[in-house]
Order: sequence, then C-alpha cells, then structure tokens
Amino acid sequence: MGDDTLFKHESLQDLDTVIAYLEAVRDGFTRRRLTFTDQEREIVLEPKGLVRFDLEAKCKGQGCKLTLKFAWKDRPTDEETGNLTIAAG
Amino acid sequence: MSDILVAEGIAENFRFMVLEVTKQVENAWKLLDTRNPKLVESISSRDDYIDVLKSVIENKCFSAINRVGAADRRVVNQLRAMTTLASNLERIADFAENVVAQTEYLKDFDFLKRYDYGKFFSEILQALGLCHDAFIKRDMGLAFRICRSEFSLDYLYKVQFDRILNELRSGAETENLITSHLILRYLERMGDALLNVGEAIIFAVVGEKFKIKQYEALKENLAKSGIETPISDLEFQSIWGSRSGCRIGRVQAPPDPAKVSGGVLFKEGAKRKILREKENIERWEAIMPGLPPRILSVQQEDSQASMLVEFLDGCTYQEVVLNAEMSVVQNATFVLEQTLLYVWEHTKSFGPGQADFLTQLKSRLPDVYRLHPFLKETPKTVGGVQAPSLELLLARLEPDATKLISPFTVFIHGDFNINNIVYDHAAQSIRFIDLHRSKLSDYLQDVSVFLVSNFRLPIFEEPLRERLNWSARNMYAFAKRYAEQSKDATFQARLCLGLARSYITSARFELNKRFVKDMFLRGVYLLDRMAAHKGKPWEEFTLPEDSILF
Repeated sequence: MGDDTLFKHESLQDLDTVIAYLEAVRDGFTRRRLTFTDQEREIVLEPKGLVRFDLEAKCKGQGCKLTLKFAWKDRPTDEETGNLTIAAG
Repeated sequence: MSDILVAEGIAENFRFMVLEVTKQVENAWKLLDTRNPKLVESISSRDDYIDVLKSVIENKCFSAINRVGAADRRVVNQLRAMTTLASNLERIADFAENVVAQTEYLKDFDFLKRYDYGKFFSEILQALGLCHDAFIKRDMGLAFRICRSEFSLDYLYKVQFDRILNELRSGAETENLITSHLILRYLERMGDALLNVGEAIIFAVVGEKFKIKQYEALKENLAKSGIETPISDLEFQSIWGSRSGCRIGRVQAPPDPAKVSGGVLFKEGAKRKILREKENIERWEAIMPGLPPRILSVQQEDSQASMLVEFLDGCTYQEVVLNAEMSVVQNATFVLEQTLLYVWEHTKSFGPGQADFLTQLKSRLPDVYRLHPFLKETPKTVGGVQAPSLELLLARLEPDATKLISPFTVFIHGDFNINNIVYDHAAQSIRFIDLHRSKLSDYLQDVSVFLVSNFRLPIFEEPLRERLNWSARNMYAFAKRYAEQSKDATFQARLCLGLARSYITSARFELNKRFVKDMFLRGVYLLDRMAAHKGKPWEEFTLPEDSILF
C-alpha cells in the first residue's frame, strides 16, 4: 500500500444484512486483511499495529446513528525497510 | 538572516517601519522644541501607516511560521522575533503620539525644557538607529546596546521624577508639572519597548529567552570567569555561530584538541535549582570527564542564583536526527549508545530502584487536565466490554505497580529528551545538557523520556517521522539488549509504565488537540494493557512495541 486509495459504499439494508457486513469486517480484522472491490479495482486494507478506534452512538428524536471508525498507520515493517540497528558494545 | 524574510518582503517592511517610527519620535521632539502645529498633523497621519505596516509584518510572519513549521526552528525564531519587533516599534510610535497629545495641556512649552527631555530623545533615537542592523546582521553587541537604552532611560526618568515630585510639594505650577511628568513617563515607556526589541533580537540569534534584567548578574559572572570584555560582540557571536543552522554533513575539519568552545550560556533561576544543577554537573564530570558542560562561574544571592556554563559546540541529537545525513545520524547514535553504556556500567549499583512513574504521572495530571479538559473521561462500557477511565486504571494498577522495581540503579540524566543531548561531529562526542534533574534511579526513566521525546514532536511530514521512528526504534533495541545482558527481567513492564507516564504528561506541552489525544490515548492504552496483566508475574509482561512508533 502507500498510495492514496478510497473506496465508498452506501446502501439501505435490513438488520440481517447489516450483521453479514459486520461479520465480514470482523473476519477481515481477524485475518488482518479487509478486501473491498468494485468494477475497476480491488482495495485491500491490512490492519496492523495500534488501531485508533472511535465509537459514536446517538439518537436525535427518532433518528439514531452508530458510527465506528478505525484508523491505523500502514507503516512498513522492519523487514520491509531493511531497517538497520546499530550494535552497541 | 534567513532568505524567507527577504523573499516575503518582511525585511523591507521592517526597514520602513524602523524609519517611520524614528521619524515619529524625531517629530515629537521637534514639536516640543518648536511648537509647530503642522507637526501634530503629520504625526497623526503617519501613525495609521505604522499600524498598517505592523499588521502586514505580523500577517506575513504568522503565515510564514505556519508554512515553515517546526522543522526549522532558527527561521521560526526569527519570524517570532520579528512579530515582537513590529509590535514594540508600533508601541513606540504610539507613545510618540501620546507625547504630542499631552502638549495640548502644556501651558508653557519652555517649562518642560528644564527637565532635559532632549537627553531622553537622543537615547531613544540612538537605540532606534541600531534596530535594523542589529536584527539583519544578527549583531548581539548592537542588541545589547538597544537593551541598555532602557537602563539609561530609567535612570533619566528617576532623576526627573524625583525633581517633579519635589516641585509638586510647593503647590505651584501643578498642571505643568503633571503634564511634564506624563510626557517624561511616555518617553520612559519607549525604553521598555526598546528593551523588548533588544531581547527579541537576542532571542532570534541565540534561540533562548535571555532576560536582560539579569544583565548585572551576567556581568559579574563574566568578570569572575576571567572573560575580560564583558559584553562584546565577539563572545555572543560565538553563541549564535555555533548552534544556528545545525545542518552537518561529513566531518568538516579534523578535531582540534586545543580548541575551547568559545560561547558561554547564562542560566539564572531559583537558587535551589541552579545549585542542584551545579552539583549534578560536578558529579557528571567525575563520572565521565567532558560529558557535562564546564561551569565557568556561579553567583548566589538570597533566593536567586546564576551560573555561566560553557556553550557546547555541535547540534542537539534532535537536530541531528531531523536534519543530518543518515550516516551522521548513525554515527551520533553509535557515540550516544557507547556513552550510555559507559555511564550505566560505571554508576550501576545493585539493589532495588524505582522511578515511581505513577506518582510522577499523578502529580502532573492536573496540569494536563487544566490545559485539555476534554481529556477527562468517565468509565464506559460497550456491550460487555469495559472501557475504564485513566483514574480507574491508575487505582487498579497502583498496588501492583509499587512492586515493580528495577534490580539496579544508575546515575540518570533525569530529563533525557533528545533536545538535551548535544553531538559534536568534529569531536565525535556526545554531551549532556540541562542536568538539574539528574539522580540515581531506574535507567528506564531516561529511556522512556528519550523515546517519547521523539514521538511528541509536532512534526507530521512522513520522511521526518520516519527519522524520528528510526531514532525511537533504535533506542528501544539498544535498551532491550542492555536489559537482557543485565538480566533485567521486568524491563518491558517498567518501560511500559514509563512510556505511559511520558505520553500522558507530554499532553501538557502540546496544543494540537488531535495530537494531544493521540498521545493521551496511547498512555491510557499502555496502562490498560498493564491492568489486564494483573495477577501474573511482571516478568511475563510484553510491551506492545508499536506503541513507541508514530
């Protein structure tokens, strides 16, 4: 990764389908690999390291909303960068 | 002077501003001498132009600071100093206008002449005449002369004030006396503004706030240390010359063993703090000669003390990490690690030691919340998952954390952030500065402060971040190897606690909310991991290593 990427999807769902989506995301986290595709391309997110997790639940009148946000750094690992450490003593 | 000041036209605006303010002061003087009413009009119309110039300079400086960011502190310091110059010059122009406004109430212009106001004006104009060159040529000698005008003006004012007070007692000429006093008072206040101007120029040159009120203490210190001419251009130029623009490439010249660092650094503050630093410097010198800066002299008064220390050649480790070629960074890191190994091995004393991270954290927490009240949270649950608050975590951890002790102690720096380490590439040496917190303690206090001092820099450009991450990763690997060799089995748990403490308390120095939250949450996360370990031996705890990387 490293290139800027954006995948967006909006829909209306029944609760059973919502659960299917949540499970897909959950499986993706478990496998450390979330895949999103549209006609043109496939976008893969590989969660790693520490994940910033923001959760917001709110109701205003009859309108309710749950927002989940996960953010992490797609930083290359030591092996990928060939990072050198300097031996001391 | 940095190019940005020229490119943005700030240098030119500044030149005009000095000229305009000088003209205002000259005209105010002329008005008092000649009572020419045309001057009143000219002074009032010029004042608007000066206000505009001030705004233009400020706008340009703030937008340039924004663009330059934290990466080039020298340029940022110059821009900051320039905003101080502009606002104080404008203040001087305002005072000139105030003087003019007072003349309306002066029944007899000749009356004022007895108070020698010409001397005030000469002093002010002389100092104004130095402002441009002092700033543009970064001339410390000129800056000091500007500062000194404040002392001369204070003295002139005091003499005339006493005289006016005496005359008031006679009961005659009350109106003229009051008005004369007000005029002299405005002239004296121009001196205050000139002092700010001089100090801002010094700040632009040396990068540290240097309060000229400490001038007398400095003079005594210089005399005591055997430096002959107290405030000459030369000595202070060496300060400016050695630490500015710290971009080093390869070794420029073979190190000269006879070379003595030319600059001096003046420190002044609470007696206890200064004397503690002095003792620590002596102790460091005994442990590893040359590691701390040399003390040139110390002055003590009732509650204050001051000290002249050698100003070290070279760059801070932070500047090296951010700016130098990678080979130089590696070299500096190697020398730093060798230095730490030497210090740790030579001061190691077996027996339990504790840095008491939790107490440190709790004592600084009120300051964090005062600055960022939004960080204060209550415990929450999401379904069956509990999200404890920081306070709850601290309470849970406390009984177990007190059992977390280091198997040995070493003499630690005490404020080991990457800005307090100076690397001299030519001499291939590492030196420590700001040593007032040094003591025997857990070496992981220094390691955790070092690691977080990389993280907490508000620098977000990826290439620079990679360098800071490199520095943190490297120190972590080094400390981990040392822990393994020293059979320090609770290394990871203690480091985790130290990191949590530094992340959370660092929030009190930062204003960027997003970044503050990132550091705070990182600290809370680490404490949460430790709380989750409860009941198991600390030797088995694993630090989430990603927590040291941005």
